[in-house]
Amino acid sequence: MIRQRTATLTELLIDGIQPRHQLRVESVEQLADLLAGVIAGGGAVVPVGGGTALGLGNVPKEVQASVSLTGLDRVLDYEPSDMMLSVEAGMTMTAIQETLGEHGQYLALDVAFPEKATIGGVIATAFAGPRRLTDGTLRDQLVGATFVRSDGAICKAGGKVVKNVSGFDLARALHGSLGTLAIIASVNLKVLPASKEDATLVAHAEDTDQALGLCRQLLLTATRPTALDISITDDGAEVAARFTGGLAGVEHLCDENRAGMEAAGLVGIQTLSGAESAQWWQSALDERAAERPDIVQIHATMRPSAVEGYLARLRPALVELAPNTRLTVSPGVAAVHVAAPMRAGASQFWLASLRQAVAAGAESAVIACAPASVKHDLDVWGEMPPDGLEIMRALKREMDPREVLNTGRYVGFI
Amino acid sequence: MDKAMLIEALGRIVGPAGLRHDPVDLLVYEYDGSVDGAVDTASPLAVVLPETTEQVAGVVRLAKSAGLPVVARGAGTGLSGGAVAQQGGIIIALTRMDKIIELNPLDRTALVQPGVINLELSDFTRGSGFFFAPDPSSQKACTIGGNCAENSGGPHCLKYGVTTNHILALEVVLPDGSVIWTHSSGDGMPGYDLTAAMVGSEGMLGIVTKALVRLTPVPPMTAVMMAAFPEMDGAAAAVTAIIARGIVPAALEMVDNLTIQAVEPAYHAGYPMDAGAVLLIEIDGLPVDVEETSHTVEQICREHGCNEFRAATATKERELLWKGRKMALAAMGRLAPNYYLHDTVVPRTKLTATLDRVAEISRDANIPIANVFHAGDGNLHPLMLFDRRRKGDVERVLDASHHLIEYCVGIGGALSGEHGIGTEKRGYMTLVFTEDDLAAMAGLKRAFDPELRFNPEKVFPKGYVCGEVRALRNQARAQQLMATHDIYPM
Ligand SMILES: Cc1cc2nc3c(=O)[nH]c(=O)nc-3n(C[C@H](O)[C@H](O)[C@H](O)COP(=O)(O)OP(=O)(O)OC[C@H]3O[C@@H](n4cnc5c(N)ncnc54)[C@H](O)[C@@H]3O)c2cc1C
Repeated sequence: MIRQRTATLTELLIDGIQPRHQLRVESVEQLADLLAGVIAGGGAVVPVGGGTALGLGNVPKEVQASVSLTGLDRVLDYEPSDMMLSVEAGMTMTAIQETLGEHGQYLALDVAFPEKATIGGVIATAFAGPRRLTDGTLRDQLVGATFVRSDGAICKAGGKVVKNVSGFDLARALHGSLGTLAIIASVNLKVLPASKEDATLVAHAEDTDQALGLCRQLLLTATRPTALDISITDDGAEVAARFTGGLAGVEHLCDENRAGMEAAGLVGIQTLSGAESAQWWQSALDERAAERPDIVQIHATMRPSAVEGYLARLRPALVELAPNTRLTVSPGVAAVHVAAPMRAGASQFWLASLRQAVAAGAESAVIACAPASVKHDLDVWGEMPPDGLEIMRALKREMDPREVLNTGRYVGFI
Repeated sequence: MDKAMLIEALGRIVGPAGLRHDPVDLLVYEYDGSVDGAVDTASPLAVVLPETTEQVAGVVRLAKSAGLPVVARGAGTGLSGGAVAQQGGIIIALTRMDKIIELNPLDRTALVQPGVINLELSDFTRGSGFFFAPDPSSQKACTIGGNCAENSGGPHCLKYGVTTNHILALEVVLPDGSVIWTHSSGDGMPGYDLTAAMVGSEGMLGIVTKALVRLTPVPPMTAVMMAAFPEMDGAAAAVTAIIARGIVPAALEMVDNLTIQAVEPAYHAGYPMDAGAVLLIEIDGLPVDVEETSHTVEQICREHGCNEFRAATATKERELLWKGRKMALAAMGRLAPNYYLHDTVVPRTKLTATLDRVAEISRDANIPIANVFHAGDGNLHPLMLFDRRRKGDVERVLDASHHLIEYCVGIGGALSGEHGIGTEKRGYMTLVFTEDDLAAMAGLKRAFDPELRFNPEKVFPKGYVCGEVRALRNQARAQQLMATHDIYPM
């Protein structure tokens, strides 16, 4: 029933730890049976989707089993005229977008490595690319979910209609929960008509201040770009603004904003359109999010109005601590992505200091990826426990009383 | 603690001006906006009207030590009995906490107290080019705290999403009297998304004392169109066609003939009296896009038999067209002394079939049903018109309600789209949710409120929240039986 692949399996490591069993399920019932059979106290059971973000989380003590969900990859229900899609959790983002694309629709979210990343994994990690500026995250599109608790109970919350206030919103509460409350088996998502036109302006700014000044202007208009990123380079900053929507509208916005960029003193302005525009953003996102042993990634968030002051403090602090660090700033959603090359012989102390520097003035600073050797014993989610940690612990006890689901990997070592 | 001691202690926290305990003063707190008959009234021991978070926390701590239930209350416009103190105890009315603390145009946020009235927030921010997108028809009266608790919607939620899509963080007083800020995973904040858990929790998990809300920019251009159809079917088919064409209107509302009869003579919105149904379609965005889309919408409507079409872009004309929709409930008094307003949601492709079923239910029960609703979302609001004094009317309405809910749930719909479960529909929860589903929800409740003192007797069918499995099972069976035997849980 549950395939246990051993010999042929590529070696899967969770922060350097090999699961005692590597399992794979192909139906929600199998998943329920499997969970009902796991042993309390036997270590974590780690749900695995496309494996693109397995580095997120604290280092677990022991891993009892990994459970691959890629076998749950079916479309359960899709009626284009309802603009509602119901899919199993292991379906990849590419497969989803292709299914929707056939009907001129799309799921409003950009992710790294969409051909691997599964919808369940994206929800569990709350991943959202630069389009978050206008599209929000999957939290906004998620209207219902089926999930399996660690005792094997199959539960659902929400429904398959766009508006629903019947009972507590447990589906949304699973967004960003890293599989620690329950394993998501299927989800119901609001989808949108695909935009007809897609264009991006890329330009070079002399320095970060110039780039931020321009972005501030763009963000204060009613017609904000779909996505807006600044990549800080050695000789200034590259600003990219994406516009999507109706043909005439996008053309109008590109013209207007190109003029705005020129007036603000940016140079080398390029316009990318259609597939080229989409490709530009995908490559940038893939490069940024790739988990690599030689790079430490930290995500900082704050309010958009705090970005300028934050960067002014952060950049000098990084000079000594982490030379050649790359900073990508999404000023509209106030996210700063820090990619620091690992130092030779780097210690946990170094990582802790780096995080402290990144956290100063931010609302959160999460170590998204770092070698287990340096992140061991650190709570990657933050130095300080978040408000409401007691409620979070209580929720974990209620939902997963045997404490097996991804145990130890979450906030406060939940 | 006896009552006198309790009153004295409450007075010390909120002051005499913030305390009501005289039975006459308590009368207005015995009910909310729900139809009586479907929701019982109940009297609290006392009502407090705090002005600060500290006072709310103080009252909650006192209630904890006295072992009393606590019910939060906004404007009391709720339609499912949520703000009624079913087990007595203390009502905390947040209407005096009504300050807009901060507006931040770059962040597109406002920080507000829970007693701020929905429309006042939009009016206040409009000058800076923003509005608060969730716009319930009760927006002149209902509070942001109530909107959070009910996850309220409104016409513009079709494009902009419901309340939960517009709440970033909440300051919450927990049942033990402690105060936390919840964050949102949508903002990339670590930890469980307690904001998501709070919104729509009907006052059962915590009391909102501040909300950081998302503001939406006023679009550069807005056009409102009125399309009249000889029959409802044509209008419903046009709705499906507009959505299927890849258009997301800012709002897409339907008003049927019975509603037009009530509203037009009173408010002169310009809806043709002989129309089978009128669609109100709002398109917003860049002028170039709005023009193109409006044109397509007109074409689709005409293809589906629309025989009168009018478009307005000037504010005054737009407001007049909207007036007919917004005043519909107020005008119902012209048709019947009482109405029971429903709130089911069906998949958009099932609209026509559902409207046919509503008409059938109306005929069978001999109860006129008016339809005025958020067609683009598939969120129906059948209004059952009756006269409470006429013998048998109430029973027939409840019976018809039952058929309606059962049908909508049966075709994949929801019990409630925006009005909440409260006490009104708790008996129906087992139609949609299994024992396991409800147990998971009860887990969330216990994580916040292990003593089950915040807004008891709401949302969960009787007995569910404590987790006594055997009792639950029997209960579920009983609920199902009730459902199949047409007994409305009172
Ligand atoms: C004519 C009319 C039209 C309506 N139209 C719509 C509509 O279009 N869309 C829609 O969604 N609803 C509509 N409603 C329903 C109602 O207005 C909404 O549910 C509204 O959000 C309730 O707000 P309130 O301030 O009146 O809350 P109340 O009725 O006072 O309370 C509602 C619930 O919220 C809880 N609560 C209140 N304040 C807080 C707080 N600070 N913290 C925690 N819990 C709290 C209460 O305990 C209760 O459970 C309508 C009602 C009427 C009477």
